[in-house]
Amino acid sequence: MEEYREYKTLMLILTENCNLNCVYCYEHHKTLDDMPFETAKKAIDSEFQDLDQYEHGEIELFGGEPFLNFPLVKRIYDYVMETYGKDNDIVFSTTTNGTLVHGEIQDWLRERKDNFIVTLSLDGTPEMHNANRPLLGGQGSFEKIDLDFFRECWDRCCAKMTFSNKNIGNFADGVIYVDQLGFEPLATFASGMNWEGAETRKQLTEQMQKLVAYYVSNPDKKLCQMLNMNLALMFYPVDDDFRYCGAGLRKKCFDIQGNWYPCQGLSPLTVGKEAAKQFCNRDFFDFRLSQDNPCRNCRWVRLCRTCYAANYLETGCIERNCRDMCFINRLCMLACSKIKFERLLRKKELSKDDQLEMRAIIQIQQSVLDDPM
Amino acid sequence: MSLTLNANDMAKLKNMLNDSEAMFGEVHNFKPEHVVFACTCQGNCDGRTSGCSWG
Repeated sequence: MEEYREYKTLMLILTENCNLNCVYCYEHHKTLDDMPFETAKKAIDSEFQDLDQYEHGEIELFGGEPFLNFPLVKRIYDYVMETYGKDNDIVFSTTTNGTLVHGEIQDWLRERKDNFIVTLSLDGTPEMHNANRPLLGGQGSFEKIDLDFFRECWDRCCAKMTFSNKNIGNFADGVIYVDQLGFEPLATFASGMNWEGAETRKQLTEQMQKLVAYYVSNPDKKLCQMLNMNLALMFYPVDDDFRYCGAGLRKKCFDIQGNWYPCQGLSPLTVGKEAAKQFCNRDFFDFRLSQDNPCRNCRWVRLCRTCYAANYLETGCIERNCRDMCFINRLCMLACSKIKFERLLRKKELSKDDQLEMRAIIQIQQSVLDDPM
Repeated sequence: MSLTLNANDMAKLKNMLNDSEAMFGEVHNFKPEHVVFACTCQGNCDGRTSGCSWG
């Protein structure tokens, strides 16, 4: 599996504790417990013993909210850089709710911003964000975030945006707001929500139309994550190398006990101790789409945004996609195809690579005529 | 803005495709240079921007 050896990613769940109570949180088994440093050290040493065979190593510090245990963040960083950083390219990353990133934490991050990449969870306008992401006491968390700090430290700092059914009626406004704030919107729809119903679909469609208009009138803007698709992928057949993501292959997630799982979505923090046993020490090298999986013969499967853990939580099976997501995925493909068409029109010269994109746009658009959404 | 192409746009696109086929020959298959995942973030998960879209 040489192709997977460019880098090695190790995720450490530093704490199962969080100071927020987000409406869509998938971590249903939170505790107040943290990972002991010795557990982190053991995981790092076991994973990085062959680091010289990789281009670089990445450590993701995850939670809960990782900065609830800032001393542990610092201790792990210092240990890794002293032990492995002299001979290897090491990148740290974390996802934070931002509410604790002030004062000493800001000073520390500012000094390390070149190899410590921070992604901020930010759900759109203050109203949208606060509806989704209240503090444990119920107050909104938006005002607790120092947005300027994140913008100053990281160019186009990534903002992980999650849409719930509380803010579906203005998700386009949220993406545009975050984009114009100077963040890179990584927008996605929460799993575990009910996206059924004619009114929901109407709202989703209207918002997507608004987003398309924004990107068409701003042709140089990078598309937000959910619309940023390589449409040519639909001409890349599903084979034995097909995977939903890099979980288990490129990434191992260690929980606070030091056990590893393919990703945090399949760890005890998310699915509970009993259910997580089946995923403990499991890579996905042997993963195959079953012959009877309807997605296997779907022509959009390479474009469809699918997640093992979301599937498990929704359907009880890692390879079975939640059917609600079919509509959302098709909507994203359709929106992407419209924007790409408008952008192709603006190109002075078309390349050979554009041909597949044109072919994909025609097929996606035709599919809506044949099978209206 | 509509998400679908109207008949004129569709015709325009098909003409562009015909021109491309005349210039470059017909291209039907695609194989990306790197391993590509169809996950929620299409591979961003393993880049330097951390985590998957769940994070």
